[in-house]
Amino acid sequence: MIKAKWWIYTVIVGLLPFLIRSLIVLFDKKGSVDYWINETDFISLGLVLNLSNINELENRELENKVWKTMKIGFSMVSILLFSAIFAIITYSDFKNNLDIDKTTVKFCSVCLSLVSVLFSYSIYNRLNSLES
Amino acid sequence: MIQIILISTILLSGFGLYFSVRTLIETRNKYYSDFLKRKNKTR
Repeated sequence: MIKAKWWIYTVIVGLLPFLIRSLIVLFDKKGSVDYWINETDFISLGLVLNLSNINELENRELENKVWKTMKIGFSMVSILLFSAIFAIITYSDFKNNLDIDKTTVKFCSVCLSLVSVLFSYSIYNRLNSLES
Repeated sequence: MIQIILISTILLSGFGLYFSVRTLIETRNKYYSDFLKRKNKTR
């Protein structure tokens, strides 16, 4: 049940910006892949997933405290990096700065968000098995 | 700037993959051992 709730409440809500953008690209004639794969959407997904990890683990009494601390620590570091990338993107957009390689930033944010999905899934998979 | 982001991403992705796969394997092993215990009890 925990895993099903995670899929519905966390992953789909985190993917909402991407889904909305997909709809826009689908219906707009000028929609391009560059517009469709936007780094901010994936950063928001990563932030939502990692925040939900921390929230879920903080409110639980688990036997393995080291495991819990490691997962919370990793989620915090991930949030830090996601926030840093988000700040850089926002600032470069604001200043119209062309020095930043957008493709690399896009690749990094997509890569990190995919890893965050797998990481979050592994946590909720364990919590689900502990509950059942 | 971009190099720092790239290196951090690679490091974090590597650690993230390692932690995820390890947790998934641990969970599966625990689940199977519990399942086998229950199965042996019922016999």
